[in-house]
Amino acid sequence: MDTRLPDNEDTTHGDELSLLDELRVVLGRRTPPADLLVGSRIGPYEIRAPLGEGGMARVYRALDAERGLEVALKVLKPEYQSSPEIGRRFAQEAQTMASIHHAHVARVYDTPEEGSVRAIAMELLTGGSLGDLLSRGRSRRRRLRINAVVRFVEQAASGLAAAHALGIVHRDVKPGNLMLDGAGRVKVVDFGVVLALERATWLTGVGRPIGTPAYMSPEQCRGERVGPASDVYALGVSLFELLTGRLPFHEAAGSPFAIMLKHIQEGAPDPRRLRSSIPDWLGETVLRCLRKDPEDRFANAAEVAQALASRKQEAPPPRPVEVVRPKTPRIDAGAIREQLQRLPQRAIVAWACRCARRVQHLNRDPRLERSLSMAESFVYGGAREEGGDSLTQALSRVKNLRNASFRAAYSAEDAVETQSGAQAALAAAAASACAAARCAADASADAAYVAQRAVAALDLASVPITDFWRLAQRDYRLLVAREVGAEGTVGHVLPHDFWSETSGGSGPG
Amino acid sequence: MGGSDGSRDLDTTQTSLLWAVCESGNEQAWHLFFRIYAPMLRQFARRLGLNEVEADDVTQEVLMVVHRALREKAYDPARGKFRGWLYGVVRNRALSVHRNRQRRTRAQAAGGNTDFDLLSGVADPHEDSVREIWEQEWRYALLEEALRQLQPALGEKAFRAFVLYAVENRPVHEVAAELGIATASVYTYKNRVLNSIREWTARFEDDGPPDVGDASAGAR
Repeated sequence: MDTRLPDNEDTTHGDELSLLDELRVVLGRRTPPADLLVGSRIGPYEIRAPLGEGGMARVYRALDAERGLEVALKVLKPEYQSSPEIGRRFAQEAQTMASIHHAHVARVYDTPEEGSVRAIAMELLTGGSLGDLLSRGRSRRRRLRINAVVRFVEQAASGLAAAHALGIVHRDVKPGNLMLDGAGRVKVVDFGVVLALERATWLTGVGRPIGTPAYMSPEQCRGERVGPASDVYALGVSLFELLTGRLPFHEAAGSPFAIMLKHIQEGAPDPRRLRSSIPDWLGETVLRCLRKDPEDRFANAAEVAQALASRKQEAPPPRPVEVVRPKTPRIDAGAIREQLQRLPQRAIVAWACRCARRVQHLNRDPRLERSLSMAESFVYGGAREEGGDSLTQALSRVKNLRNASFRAAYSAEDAVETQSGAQAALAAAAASACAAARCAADASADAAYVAQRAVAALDLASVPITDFWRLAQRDYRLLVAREVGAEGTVGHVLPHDFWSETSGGSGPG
Repeated sequence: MGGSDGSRDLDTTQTSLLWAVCESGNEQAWHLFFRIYAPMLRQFARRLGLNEVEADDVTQEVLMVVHRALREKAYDPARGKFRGWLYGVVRNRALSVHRNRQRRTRAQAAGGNTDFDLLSGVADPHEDSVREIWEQEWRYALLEEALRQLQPALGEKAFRAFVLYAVENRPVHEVAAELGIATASVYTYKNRVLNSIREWTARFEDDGPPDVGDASAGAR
């Protein structure tokens, strides 16, 4: 490392001061200054703690001690307090929200002012957002119950319908803006970008794309005029995501523009292909929301609410396998690794070959076949023109399977997108087998990663991995019981019926 | 993935990142590009007096223009540096937002909106000061990226010591006490961090024209 400055004393270089000044700006932009408002008071509200931050305002938890009322207080950021135009917008937002009286729209209590500081006091929602629920579900690899999703979205739609009835378009509908109150009721929030229809033109100019790309309607992406049907589209995207755990056009598509382009050009995938238990009427409802032409969608949120309300009874009761699957053993990559470390190398090769062969039986991959059959020639013996593998060669062949493991894990993810759950399961099974193979090659953390992906893919496909894993475990126990690869067995090959003696399963070839 | 070797990635920004971005599907290149330039464009627009919403719009529009231009090879490296070209694009967008606003205020008869006066710098031929803001924002963007990439390697303690002592100007003994280290270490950390930042940014003082021959380096 270059140390142009002496290491143990402070010196000041000529350029240092300006560099430090620049860094002060950069770091200052990174961390907003400590919040001076906490502890102070706006109108009757005593500000307790920051809750979040939006484009032009910060939100605090605040208390009106006299009324014993706790509220979410949205306060215009200091830099905007002097701007008349933004003040107007802010006041308009308050007015807009206050004008919508609906059980599923966050309530506005009043608009306190203190000196030049303006604020909106709103209903405090403590249940988090549907977006939070989604990400929690994702991290636990679970999906939301279909019935619950239908109820949530129906409530959101009825709240939006009240806005639409007043000529108000939300323009940024997404799970993150659908909050839950303490009782689990959905409330639409963040009307920060909402504008009454007739005023939209002069306040924002035409052609202003606003919103979140993943949820934006084609007309919004093109910067065209938006209407209630644009909210219907965004609601459709949200419904799609809540049902399947995935976005119809997701981030992996690349840049925000790539996603916007997809909204404009690409047909929406059918959610039923990602989750087969979605009833047809619901799948159709989602797809109708996601039509490219606003004319082809439900005209407004009220129609969506109606469609969901009239049919929600018909949604099948959630099947335990989809939501909670306590009985499904997880592939524990750490355990695999531990097991493999106890296994002699010869047995590792045998196990990896066995797992991979089982997958080949299910879903043959020619690229895997060559490596596999060569490795098998080592395990089971047998005449190959090259004379069969040595242990080192066999181990390196098993190592080759690791590339296949990554391929398989990725293709498992793709398969969830495009093909049936069963095929995804096959690919994922391949991945888990290859993860075992990778452990054999080098017991690294990557194996855990591959195995986890495989399990995640299986989860998404709602296919239990029980069978595959059970068989692999039995194979393992057999290898241990027969002391395969134990000292003094060098050069021994497994008989071709090694596995079938107890399992009754198919042989290697 | 994830850019653990970030400095190499940024090298690419200066040369072939632009071209890598053109290739559809090169997400990594686009993400890096977006990470560096989007905040820079937004800050620039804000400093020209656009409000947050307008600045976001301008950023979005400019990035769209860049995306299209790079894909259609409409930006010609022979005609100058990318940063200069980008400056022209964003400046024009900001100006037109300003003009639209003026038209709107005039339509509102009374006018008298102080908010708009901030923008006079854009309309005026004070080109130099606008350009200076642009260059300054480039420095900030560069430093932000430098911090992002260097911080993990420098370590939390070194970075804290640097921020407290050098950036926030806290007395050295106070910083040492707070972090539980010797005062000499505070100096060491400070110098180490500063040197790293200097070294890192020195490579990008001048963004040469994108090198087409290097394009393969950016593609995976």
